[in-house]
Amino acid sequence: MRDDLLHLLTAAIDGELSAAELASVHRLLCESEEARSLFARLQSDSIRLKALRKAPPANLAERVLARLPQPEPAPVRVRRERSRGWLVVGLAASVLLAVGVGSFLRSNRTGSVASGEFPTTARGTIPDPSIVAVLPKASSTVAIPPAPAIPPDRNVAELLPPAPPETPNRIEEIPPPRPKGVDVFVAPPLKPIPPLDRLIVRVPFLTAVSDLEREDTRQQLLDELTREPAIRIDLFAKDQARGIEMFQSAAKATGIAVHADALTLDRVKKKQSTAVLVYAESLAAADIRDLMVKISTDDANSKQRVFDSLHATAALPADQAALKDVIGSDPGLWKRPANAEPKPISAGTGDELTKSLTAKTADKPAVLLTFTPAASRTHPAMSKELKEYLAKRGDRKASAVPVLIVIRPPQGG
Amino acid sequence: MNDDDRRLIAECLHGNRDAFGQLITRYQSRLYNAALRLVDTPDDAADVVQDAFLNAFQSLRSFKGDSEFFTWMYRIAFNVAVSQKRRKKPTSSLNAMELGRNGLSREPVDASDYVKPGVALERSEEERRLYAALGRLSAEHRDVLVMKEIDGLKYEEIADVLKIPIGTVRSRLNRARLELRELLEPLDENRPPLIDEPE
Repeated sequence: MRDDLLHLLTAAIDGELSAAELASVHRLLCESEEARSLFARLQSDSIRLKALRKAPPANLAERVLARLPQPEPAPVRVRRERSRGWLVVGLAASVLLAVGVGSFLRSNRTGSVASGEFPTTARGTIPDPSIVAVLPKASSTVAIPPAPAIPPDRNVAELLPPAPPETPNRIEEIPPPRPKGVDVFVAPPLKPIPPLDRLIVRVPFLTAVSDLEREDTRQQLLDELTREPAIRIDLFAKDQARGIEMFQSAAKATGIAVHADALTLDRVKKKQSTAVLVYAESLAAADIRDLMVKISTDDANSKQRVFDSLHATAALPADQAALKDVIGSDPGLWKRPANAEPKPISAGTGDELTKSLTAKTADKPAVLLTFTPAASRTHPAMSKELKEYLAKRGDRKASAVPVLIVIRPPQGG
Repeated sequence: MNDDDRRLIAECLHGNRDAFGQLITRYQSRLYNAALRLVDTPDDAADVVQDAFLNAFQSLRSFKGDSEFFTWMYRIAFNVAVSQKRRKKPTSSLNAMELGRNGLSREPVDASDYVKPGVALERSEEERRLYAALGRLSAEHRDVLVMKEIDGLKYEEIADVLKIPIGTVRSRLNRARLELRELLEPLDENRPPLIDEPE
């Protein structure tokens, strides 16, 4: 029997055939007596081998579960218990206070009104008898004793408790004079001031994308890009999907081949991605400027502006760490070619230069991946487009400025 | 990795010990059979499986799901078995040391159960016949056949464990089955047919 047919038969015994192979085996068994016989014997061997399987001890699973480490006890939430205790005490105190105040006020009112008697004045007269007529008669046992009648021959002042003896007036002491400070006009000259440290404060470049239509803004952006060894640009887009579309279009027009991760584009479509990252390390500062200007121009020509503002700043170690996580390898943002010195012009260089200028230049590669949320990032090993980019990126040129472009919504993300 | 395993592992990581119990139930038989071939006695095999599951439970967080859960367990069990063998390894005899000193190399021996006479005595006639035939296969053919038939691994699991392409697994299994048939053919002449054996 042919080897390929034998392979088919043994694979059929293994139970791992494709649909097409299964059909072939079926046909073979129908047509060949030899194949049927061999298949039966191989199947018999398989059954006999399977019979060699031994059952594990009956309590094996229980033995393992019994030896699993016990989970740690959950920490007691002391703070929560204490705060709840204070809450109960506070509530109880509030209720007691409310009841106390309420009963005090009520007893005062009840005492004065229920007795049917108004408190008498110092002269013992009732202020308005007509009010007394409408008041209910006294029924309560609680009664306020009437104020004692003052004899007409005594002055009210005599009834008042004696006033405390007056304290003699104290003489205010004058505060001591303030210590006299150094008189700056007659003081000796100050010591010479040591030279100050020079500190360069860099302010990130922030501009509206629409302002890139102006030449001075373009120049400012180019200056910023030229100054830094590696750049991060945050592009704020009101509509992310549309923003990415316009970005890709502008990149293509400026000779940049964006390898967009398919999973990222899918997430953007489903609005599962809040920010995407475009990374390129073969662009010169002028290329990046041209790309931004193209985006600005396209944006101006669109019906509704998509891009809001642009924020360019020097890439930080944190950016490198994030990039490493996204692309799965250390990008070496600040690495430069060892031999960046210009080489002397040799014979034939002119010809090569002419050839290279006249030939169509290959697009500069860039890669587009999910940036945030971090949990939604495509695993570097799973992205075909990232692999393509990494294969094409080649060596970094001395003039190249590695750039991270984050396309994100204006609020957060 | 299949969805059931993924779910059970996630539940284990959230503290559900019953989920781990389900994983044990699911894989203990296959692991036990694999361990039986790596150690000397059934008790040792049970210990290997037990320790393998305990190790797996403690390092479950490090399991990323890149391979099948069983493949991962298989590797752990293999390492546990090797460690157990090392612990139980008898010290070399003086004679053996003397042989070594004299520069007389000993023949490499196949330490697997298939060729151990003492172990073979405990088996039935049918088992002995099969083990004898398996013992005569080359190691690479025997491994794939045992993994497939006794351990119940799939092509891709065997490929993962042995670090070989799936095509190689398929090809080795083909040759192993045909070789085994040739070896069993003369032995089967006097063997009574099995009841459930297909005609």
